[in-house]
Amino acid sequence: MRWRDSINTMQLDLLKEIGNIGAGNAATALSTMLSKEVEIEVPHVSLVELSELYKYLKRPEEIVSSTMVGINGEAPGKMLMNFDSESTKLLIFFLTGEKPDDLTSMNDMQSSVISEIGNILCSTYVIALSNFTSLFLETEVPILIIDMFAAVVAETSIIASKDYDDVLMIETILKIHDGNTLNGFLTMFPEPGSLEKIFQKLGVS
Amino acid sequence: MEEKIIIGIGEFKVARNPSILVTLGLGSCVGVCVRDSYSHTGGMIHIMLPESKDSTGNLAKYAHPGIKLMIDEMIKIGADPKNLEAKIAGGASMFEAKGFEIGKRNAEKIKEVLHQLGIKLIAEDVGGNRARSLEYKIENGVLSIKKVGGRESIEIIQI
Repeated sequence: MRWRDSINTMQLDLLKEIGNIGAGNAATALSTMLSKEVEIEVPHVSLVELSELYKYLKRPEEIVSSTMVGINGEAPGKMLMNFDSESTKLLIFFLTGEKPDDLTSMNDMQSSVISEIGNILCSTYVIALSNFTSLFLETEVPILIIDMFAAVVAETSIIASKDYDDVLMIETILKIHDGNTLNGFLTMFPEPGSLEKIFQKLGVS
Repeated sequence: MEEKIIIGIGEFKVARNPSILVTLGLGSCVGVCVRDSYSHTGGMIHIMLPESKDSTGNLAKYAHPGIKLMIDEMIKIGADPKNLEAKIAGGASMFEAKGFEIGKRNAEKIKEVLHQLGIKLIAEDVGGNRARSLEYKIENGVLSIKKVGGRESIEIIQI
């Protein structure tokens, strides 16, 4: 099965709009938490063959912090909030005043800060999606992983839609320019069947 | 100069020496490396799931029938099915809190398939909760496994 075969251009545009609304709300939440201006890039809906994923992700072996939040309810899926190493350290510094030396030896406090940021951003996104579509959606507890970028993305995709040969990602990049540039990669992975429900609710099925 | 051949998720490739077969970011997926040390032919497959429910789509992502398909290709380029040896790595549970068992089931199914095909499993590095990247040298059969180690380093082991 392929996502590519089941989505038309109008539906793709709608998914982009969902990304916009979800990420817009997530950016506001991050901005409030940090008291800093947060920018979002125009969301991007990508359909990537699983076998091409390592090429699509520019630095597949980069070590990132990723928070995965499951979406339950009428349109289940997974949310993934990734920050690269430097961005993770900066975020922890902004919120605790201390910068961890490296991602693989963060203390409990630091891990929980980054996991909670991911949780708030993903949940805000899901709440916005739920309001926009009038679908009942709820989020699961966050899981924090520190590992290679490509593995985290592939793994999330496999959990969300294991029988598909391609990956559908609704991606947004969050940025803070504060002397330091901070990059976050916020992505939604729908489960099979969820898109039909969303499209139906919005009248583009 | 050895050629590096990259294998994506749910793909397999076969090659003759001198080549290095590479796959990146294995989580619950398992990389199966097979080689014939006499004819210096080898193959690697990046397996996502134990078994295909129907026979459509990309079959190379399943242990069954993916491994068999790869072996058939290896035989075409000169491998002798009697000489084959295998090494496997991967099958981690990255999201351990959720108890996703795909990795474990992948590894079990792969061992079963290798046994059925009469291929000897000579080394393995499976399980745990860290992702792996693999490099398999067809010339000597050394499998290098990269994982994220302490201080954001990359830890390399060879089996």
